[in-house]
Amino acid sequence: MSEEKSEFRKAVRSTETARSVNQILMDWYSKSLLASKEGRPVAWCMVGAPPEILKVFDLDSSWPENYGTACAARQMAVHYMQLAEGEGYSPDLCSYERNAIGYCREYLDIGGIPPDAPQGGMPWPAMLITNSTVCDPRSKGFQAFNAHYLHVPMYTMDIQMPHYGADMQDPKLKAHYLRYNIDQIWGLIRFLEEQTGTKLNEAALSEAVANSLAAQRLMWEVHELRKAVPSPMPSEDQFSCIVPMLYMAGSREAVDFFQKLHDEVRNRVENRIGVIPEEKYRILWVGIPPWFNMGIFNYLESLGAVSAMETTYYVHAPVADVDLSRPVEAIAEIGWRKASQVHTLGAELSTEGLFSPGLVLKFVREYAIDGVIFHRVLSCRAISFGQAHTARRLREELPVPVLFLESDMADPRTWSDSRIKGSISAFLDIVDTGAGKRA
Amino acid sequence: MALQGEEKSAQPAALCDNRSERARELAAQGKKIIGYLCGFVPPELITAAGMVPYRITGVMGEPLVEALDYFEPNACNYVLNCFQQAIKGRYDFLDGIVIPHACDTVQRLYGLWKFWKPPAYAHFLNVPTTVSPASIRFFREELEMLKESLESFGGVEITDQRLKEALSLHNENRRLVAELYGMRKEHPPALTGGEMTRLLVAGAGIPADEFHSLLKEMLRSIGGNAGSVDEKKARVLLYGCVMDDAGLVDLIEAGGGSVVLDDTCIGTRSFGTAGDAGDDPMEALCRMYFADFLCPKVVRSCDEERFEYLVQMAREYRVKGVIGYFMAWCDPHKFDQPVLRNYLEKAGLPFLALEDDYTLSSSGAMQNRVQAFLEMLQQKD
Ligand code: SF4
Ligand code: SF4
Repeated sequence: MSEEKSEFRKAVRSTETARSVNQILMDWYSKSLLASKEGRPVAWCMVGAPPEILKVFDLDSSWPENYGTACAARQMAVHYMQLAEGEGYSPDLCSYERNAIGYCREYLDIGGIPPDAPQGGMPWPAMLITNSTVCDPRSKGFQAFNAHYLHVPMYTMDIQMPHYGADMQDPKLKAHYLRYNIDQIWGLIRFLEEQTGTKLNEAALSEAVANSLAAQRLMWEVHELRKAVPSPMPSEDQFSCIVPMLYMAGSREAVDFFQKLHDEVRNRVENRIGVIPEEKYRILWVGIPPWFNMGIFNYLESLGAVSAMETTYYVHAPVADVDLSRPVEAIAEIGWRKASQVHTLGAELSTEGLFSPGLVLKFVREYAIDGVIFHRVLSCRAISFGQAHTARRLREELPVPVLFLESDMADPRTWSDSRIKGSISAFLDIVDTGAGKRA
Repeated sequence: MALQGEEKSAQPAALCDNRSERARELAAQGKKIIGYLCGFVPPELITAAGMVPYRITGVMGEPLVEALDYFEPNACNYVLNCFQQAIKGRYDFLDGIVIPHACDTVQRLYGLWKFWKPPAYAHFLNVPTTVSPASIRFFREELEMLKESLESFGGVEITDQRLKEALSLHNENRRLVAELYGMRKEHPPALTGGEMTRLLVAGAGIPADEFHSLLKEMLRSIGGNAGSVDEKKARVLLYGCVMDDAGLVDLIEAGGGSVVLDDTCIGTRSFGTAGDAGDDPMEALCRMYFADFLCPKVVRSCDEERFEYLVQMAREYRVKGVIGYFMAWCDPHKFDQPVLRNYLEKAGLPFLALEDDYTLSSSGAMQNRVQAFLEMLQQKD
């Protein structure tokens, strides 16, 4: 924990499209607040719940994970986390979840949305929708705050994938997984039909899935364009873009957003417009960013280093030829194909492939990376686990300087400016003289 | 192996302290030893394949050094410790491993172990997050796949008959364990919590038939004797995840408590359910190792009544309070902790939460807290 007072800064985004996310986010929060005021149900959801399905049910949603990032960025997360810790929730636990727990506590204490709640706050939910992808906290955290405060209907969509090393081409294995995952998606649909009193419109869902695939293809093309030197779009911009990508998937607006981003980035590549005038080093960022201090990316840029690519929230290569006439099966099939891509890349440690050394190696090569920064976020095991393994694999296969920064995604109490900046400066010295330096 | 009638607790204690010795002996004789972790893996399947199930444990208190080269420090230190034993070659006697998708950390352990210390056989058992007819079917299919892979590794067919025999042997052990637990309902209990823990840890490292003899011997040596535990000791229930070392139980018992019951992975969670094999032994395994297996990783419901079973157990054993042992960086248990505390306290059961990093290194401070808690319990009525 830091003794000194840290200086937390918001990032200055490089692309105009990423800058527009602020407004999109504000509008999106206002929309669910309005829905709640008008007496319509709002669901609290966890990333992994398909927004395409929510959209078809015309259900407004708030996402405690995203709210964690918003509270962190506005330096409010500590306040909520302290409330959660006062209730007995350990500081080890996911800071997004702690933030949501503290928010619930305060909401109940004052009998409504706290007046200083960032983005106008999250309206009290009528239901919870979570899932089991990626980590334990997304199911356990929702269970905890539901049992402790909310007491509303909840659905946990349990999506399973095989561990690395399984034969993803084995039809028996695929049938085993898809049967279960399809059941779980139908489970969500039945739950929503019950909660909203409306029936699923399959044609609308097919359209939403098509939109989602279109947005993902555009996003992936942007990832590809970012291989250009100088880097046309840095990681801090990409981290903003998760808002339309994760929460608005399935909408026409998300497709338009990524088309705009695509056009802007392509134009930058064609005109060799870089993030900074003189790009000395290209960094690969591994892990969730510190949302309370996104200015760290601008700090890197001030030293000539651009975070040219990142592993978190990567959209894998687009999936084609999926039968969209059966949209539920299509969602499961898309998930399976993405998992297969991750397996092919070599996600040695997990069923989710979050830390595929293969992905890191690929990025280091394809994005002309000079140094890798691993952001080890203390309160999230899922996204941190595998970094030490990956660093070892890098040492063996592709020596490139590596830096471990230890802090958190939403808990600034783990941050120390002098420690972090000192590490970065020593790291860039190595990058400058080391094996990874570009000619 | 000779299991002569000695002092009540001497054999299990010796086996517990030297717990891999028997497995190493058997490995030297050509038996295949399969290590497994967590309560989702049915050792019955390993027994039925003619191999020896061996529950992987750590070495409590050993400083973490080697493991940190591979694993993040913000991980459950128990799992890190198990992995460190593997890296140091202390599990080289294992022919294979079966690791389930328990928590995030255990799931990663499988990949790390397989990558850096590849055994001849490694199998990952996936575990659903919720209980439903579909998830029970999914788990059953996972068990079928585990069965097939054990068959092909062991070169044997696990027929229904073999599986039923293995089930009945393990069930018989469960019944004997339950009998021993039952002897702690009395006051004073017939055996201490420390003795019970050592017995269970010892049993998890030897073949089921040898555990059977050990249990019989234990029961015989207790006979009709009344317990030797001091009457005034406060009866407590110990709640937690892994408890593969008796250190904490000893600490509580030395401080004036008597651990008469537990809700831990190596204790009642694994021995609390017995499956009548009936016509369908796989169905019985599914129930015992998934549908009825109360691991917090599986989200069953969001109402706090999900902890009612603990209150019932506590009443049955006339427990005065609950001590919870929580591993640092453990998501599944720590998310449950505040709701669990509220529920127990509402039921009149005081709750003391201890946090540790699998070293008991703060045992001085822990002892003070335990003692204060026990004194409070003693004054309660
Ligand atoms: S992946 Fe990490 S940050 Fe996201 S919900 Fe899970 S624990 Fe929290
Ligand atoms: S103590 Fe927690 S983190 Fe460790 S193995 Fe058990 S459930 Fe997993």
